[in-house]
Amino acid sequence: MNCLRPADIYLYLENELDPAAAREADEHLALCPGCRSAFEERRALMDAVAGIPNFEVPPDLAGRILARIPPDRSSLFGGLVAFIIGLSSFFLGGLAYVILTGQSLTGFLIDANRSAWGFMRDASLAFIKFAKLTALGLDLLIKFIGEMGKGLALFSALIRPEVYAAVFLLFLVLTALLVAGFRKMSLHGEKP
Amino acid sequence: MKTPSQIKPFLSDSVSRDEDNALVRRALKGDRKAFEMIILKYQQPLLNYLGRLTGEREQALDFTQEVFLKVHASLPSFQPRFKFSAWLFKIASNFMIDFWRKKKIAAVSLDRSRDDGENPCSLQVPDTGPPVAKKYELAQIKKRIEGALERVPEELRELFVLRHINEFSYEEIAEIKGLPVGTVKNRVFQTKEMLRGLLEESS
Repeated sequence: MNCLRPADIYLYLENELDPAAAREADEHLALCPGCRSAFEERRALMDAVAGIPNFEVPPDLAGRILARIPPDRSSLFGGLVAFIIGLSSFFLGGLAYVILTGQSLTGFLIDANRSAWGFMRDASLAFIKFAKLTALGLDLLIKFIGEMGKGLALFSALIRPEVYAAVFLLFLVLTALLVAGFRKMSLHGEKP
Repeated sequence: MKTPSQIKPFLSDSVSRDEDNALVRRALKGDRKAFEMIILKYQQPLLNYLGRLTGEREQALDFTQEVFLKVHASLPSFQPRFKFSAWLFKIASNFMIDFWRKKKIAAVSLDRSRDDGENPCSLQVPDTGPPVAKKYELAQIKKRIEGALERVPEELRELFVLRHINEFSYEEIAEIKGLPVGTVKNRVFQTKEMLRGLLEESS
């Protein structure tokens, strides 16, 4: 092999030579003192380049940049539009109500206030009732499960072991048939 | 310390790429925390790049802020099929080109023969005299390299910094700069030999 060109030495140092060329370079470097010297010199240069220190980043740099970015206008604008539409709807609705019923504006505002409080009161009462019903339902369910357990225990004490085994076997067969059926359905895309 | 043979692109793995794309998506929805994470991830490599190109830390810090603001403004145009770090450095590179143009720094006239080399090894520099590495200790060389780098023309310095400070691959640099890979390799090689020559001159 001919002596290495400086460009090849750099590519070799950066693992940019293809494997065959790198192998040849390896072999040549082992035999040629001139190329080895050129290689060592460029390696030292590149080692020094790799060791050039970083510039120091101030800890508040990200904060400084973010402070220069205005808040997202789209979300701000969207919120503002929703607020304006809501407020306008309320006033337009109120105006229509006042015109249609002939009621005074003050009377309308008093009614609106009463309606809001009435809604709050009714909603609170409904929520309390719902919570009570849920608690009662849960209580009933727990009792039912307890009684079912007792019944099952009594049933298993009364029947003979052969019957018990036959029922268990029947249950297993039915489960296996169900699983096989579902599997077939899912494989062929059949509808039930 | 890293040796050249240990050089790896600092953000080339697919995990980092997915992470970047996720952060960009969140930032586009107005998530400032996501953009802050992008800044924290890239502020050091970007400052190093701009610092080595301007030669002044304070100016590089100002430029880093400007580039991140440009990145934020351009986020809607980012396409996830590109690598985010390469896209970011493309913006930074364009920023520096504008800066140099405004300063009316004479553009470096690069020899045509260097540019169209499919073979990046066309330029040969003879090894004359005692090796530079033997004349100085490593720490001294680092200082000298920093000084010598400032004397290298901007166009060449930028490619060298992208390769050896920011550790981009030649292919990524070609994408950032819109140049053929062979041209990038040739110019980076030329810069290294130029640095070597400058170090010898100053010895």
